[in-house]
Amino acid sequence: MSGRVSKRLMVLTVSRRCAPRSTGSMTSPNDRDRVIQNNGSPFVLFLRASSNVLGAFEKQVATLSMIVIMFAIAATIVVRLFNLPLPSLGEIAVVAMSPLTFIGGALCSHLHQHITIDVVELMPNSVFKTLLRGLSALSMAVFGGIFSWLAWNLFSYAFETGERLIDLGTPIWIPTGCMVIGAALICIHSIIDFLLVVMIRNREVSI
Amino acid sequence: MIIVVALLFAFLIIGTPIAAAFALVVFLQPDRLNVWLDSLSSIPYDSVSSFALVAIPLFILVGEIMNRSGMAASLASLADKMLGRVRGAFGYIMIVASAFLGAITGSSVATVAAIGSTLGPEMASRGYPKGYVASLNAASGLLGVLIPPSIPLIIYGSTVGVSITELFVATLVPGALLMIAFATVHWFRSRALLEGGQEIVARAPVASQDDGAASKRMWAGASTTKAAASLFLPVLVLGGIYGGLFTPTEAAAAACIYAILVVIFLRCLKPSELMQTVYSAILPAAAILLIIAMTGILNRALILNQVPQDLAALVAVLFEHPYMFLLAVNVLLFATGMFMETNAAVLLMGPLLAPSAQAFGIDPVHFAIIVVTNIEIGLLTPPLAANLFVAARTNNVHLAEMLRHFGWFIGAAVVALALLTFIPGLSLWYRYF
Amino acid sequence: KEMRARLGHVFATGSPVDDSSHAFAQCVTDETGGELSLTVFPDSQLGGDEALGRDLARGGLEFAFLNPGSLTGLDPLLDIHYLPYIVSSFDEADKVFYNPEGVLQTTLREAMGSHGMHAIGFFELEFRAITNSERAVTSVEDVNGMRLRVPGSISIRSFFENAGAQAVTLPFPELFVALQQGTVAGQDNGASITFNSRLFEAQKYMTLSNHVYAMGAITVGQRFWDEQSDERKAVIEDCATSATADQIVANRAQSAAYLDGIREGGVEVHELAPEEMAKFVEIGRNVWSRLEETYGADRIAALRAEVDGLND
Ligand code: NA
Ligand code: NA
Repeated sequence: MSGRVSKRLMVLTVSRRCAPRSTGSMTSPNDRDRVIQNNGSPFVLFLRASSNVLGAFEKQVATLSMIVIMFAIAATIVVRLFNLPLPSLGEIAVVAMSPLTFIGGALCSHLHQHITIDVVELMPNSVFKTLLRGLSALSMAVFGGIFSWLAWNLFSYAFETGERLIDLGTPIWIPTGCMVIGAALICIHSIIDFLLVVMIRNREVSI
Repeated sequence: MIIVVALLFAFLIIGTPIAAAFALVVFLQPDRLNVWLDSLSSIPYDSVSSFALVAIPLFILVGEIMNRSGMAASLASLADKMLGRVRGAFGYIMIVASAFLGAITGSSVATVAAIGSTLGPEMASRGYPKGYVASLNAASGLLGVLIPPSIPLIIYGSTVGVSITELFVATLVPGALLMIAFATVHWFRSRALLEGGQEIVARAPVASQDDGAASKRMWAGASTTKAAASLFLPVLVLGGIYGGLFTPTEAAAAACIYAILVVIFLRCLKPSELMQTVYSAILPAAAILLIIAMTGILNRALILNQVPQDLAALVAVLFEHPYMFLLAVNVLLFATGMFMETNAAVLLMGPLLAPSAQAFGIDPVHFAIIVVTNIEIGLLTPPLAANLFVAARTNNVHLAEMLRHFGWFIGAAVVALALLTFIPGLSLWYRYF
Repeated sequence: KEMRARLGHVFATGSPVDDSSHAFAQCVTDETGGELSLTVFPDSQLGGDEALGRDLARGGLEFAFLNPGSLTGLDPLLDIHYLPYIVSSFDEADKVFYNPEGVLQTTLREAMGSHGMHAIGFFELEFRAITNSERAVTSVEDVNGMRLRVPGSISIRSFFENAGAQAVTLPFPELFVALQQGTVAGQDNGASITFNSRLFEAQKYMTLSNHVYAMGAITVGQRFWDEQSDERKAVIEDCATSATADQIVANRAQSAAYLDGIREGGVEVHELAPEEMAKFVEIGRNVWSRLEETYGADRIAALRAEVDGLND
């Protein structure tokens, strides 16, 4: 019976002339939210909601950066080929790398999509697992904190000196500012993560 | 230094993201490492503000678009028709496709990203364990460097002073050797891993069985158009680079725009789905870029403490026989490759080791191939193994699941490296013509 | 008490600048009796010029052999010496570029000083040249319509645009493949970079146009400098003086050797006939007045006076 259903689905997608396939079966924050919804205190819900709001912002910024990178590089080809009287736009792509990396990195923190040596996943003992998750969230929060502070120092230097990139004159406080924001967001997400691990201690939730 | 390494492993084991672990070990003990904290913040910024790195997110995006639009699947079914009789055909397809794409990008990581997201899911659906697919994906990404144009070879040639044109020619046989090495691993492993030693055949026929000939035709028609459109992508990109229309990095953007246009004209994805596709590309892109950004911090600490420099000097004076020297160089570079980012490692180790190699009478081109191949193998050796990370992410598999598979490929690569090291003719083949 | 300091630069190991940086480091270490010992980090090991500049200013680095022309993002004055055809021969360069009281050194020192960098000596980078794979450039007309990669300097770009070329911005790491595949026809680095970065392998013609003479600066972080005793400052300055003097001699010999290497690589190397050189010089100097906004009318006027004085 279920086989028949999947065949029908196949036909449905086929009739749209394409057969899209999803790569990501990553844990969506919604799954986690559903679990939290059932056993979370108001504070837990608030933490989770804040993390989601920030995540939505990060998603917009990172997606936009990716699109900007693509068009800026494509534009440099066109400008050169047709000898258009425009300066090189490659600089825009290079600037957009900062929000993609650092604010996108914060989104990875929110969705637990950072690359880790995930031996933790192999551990059978769930108490130990929770402990390690807490530790790793804590270490990430410390990292985010120190990195925010360092990035801030670079940002304020860039802001004071007014250092610019050479081709279009983009002030470097813009990309370094994105680094500060990304670092701070990583720190916030990790603190929230840590609190959630401590407060819920439910292995399903912290997946 | 031992404390640093121990701390690094401790962080990695508790599951701290790799990007953070590499930075934290330095952040937590700046005085011991003789670094000034404030100067560390410009490393991540400078690392990612690089035109060359732009190819990485863009090729991840190309891969996502091809995958979600079904362009990848139609390419796969085309390849299937051509190679259907070969046992474990898809593994060889992945190796050859990586070599082709590697020829284009000159960057291992970008190659892994694009191949992983296009061919990876298809291969997994044919019965291979995902961990194996990701490992093969990561390994074949190395071919990107050994087939010109290649950024690490350009870096080596220009910092050490070896003809880049010669290096580009020299690298072809080592590249082929590595392909054979990986194909051999696949020959053995696919028989062990696949049920009955055979791939599960594609599912296109499923729809055609009892749902009528009409949909079958539709699938076939769409598939042919799409396959043709997808096949034109490498033509456009390779033709564009070799025809002088754009540089390898720009090729990534050209490929993106082309894939989007195909998707729009063939109506494969709705605009909202297209946005979703961009979104699904930013996570792996940001994760790998953050690693590239932050690992530079530990690299800088190592350099400031003269660790690689001292080791290179030691290797140069410790051995008297060229073979012993080469062996020691390989061990040193292998260790370097575990912790350092590849381009930085080539830039650092090339000038440190090349003069002693010259003193031992080793041909500079031969030595260049040894150094670059070895450092590239570092892309497969944890803790810092960019190819593994990207392959894990684009194939949606845990690194832990790759553990029992990628060792085979590192082994094969090391065997190839040994051959390259002790048979100079493999690198200097072109001189016999 | 003993103190360790770091010296960073972007130049290749074994290049004349690298040799000079080691000589300088050795000199400082010796002359202070080991109280201040310098370790050299070549090959961009500590980052590019922009990163070195930032670290010098903020106190994370003590010494650097900088190319100030790369720091124009910090201050547009830092590439005033890229104005085309300030000089066109080594003799002229010695008089205009290595005059400590001249406009160029004064401007660079002031601009660097206002960003936390103290310049204590100037060394030679190179005369820029034109290389390409289309045709031998022997007159201004030959450059017309040629697609040339130029660095991000307003002076150099304006010069080539005035000469009728299509000036293209391209990151340096992409340049080799771009030249090889014909994405751009040529580029404008001098003998040293063209040889050491192997760009000549992808080129057929080179013309010693000498349109820009580039100069580097031995730079000390202002914070570090202010902490040093007057006696030690004098020692460091003396070392800088002798290191730069030796570097200039060695660099010119090496530059001739690089040119030989480029010729051996199969590149036709051309010099401009005096009357053609005069046309290039005229185009170059015409750019100056249009860049008064960037570099200041008074500085450009002073520079004109200095350059005119050469002929007396
Ligand atoms: Na390549
Ligand atoms: Na590695």
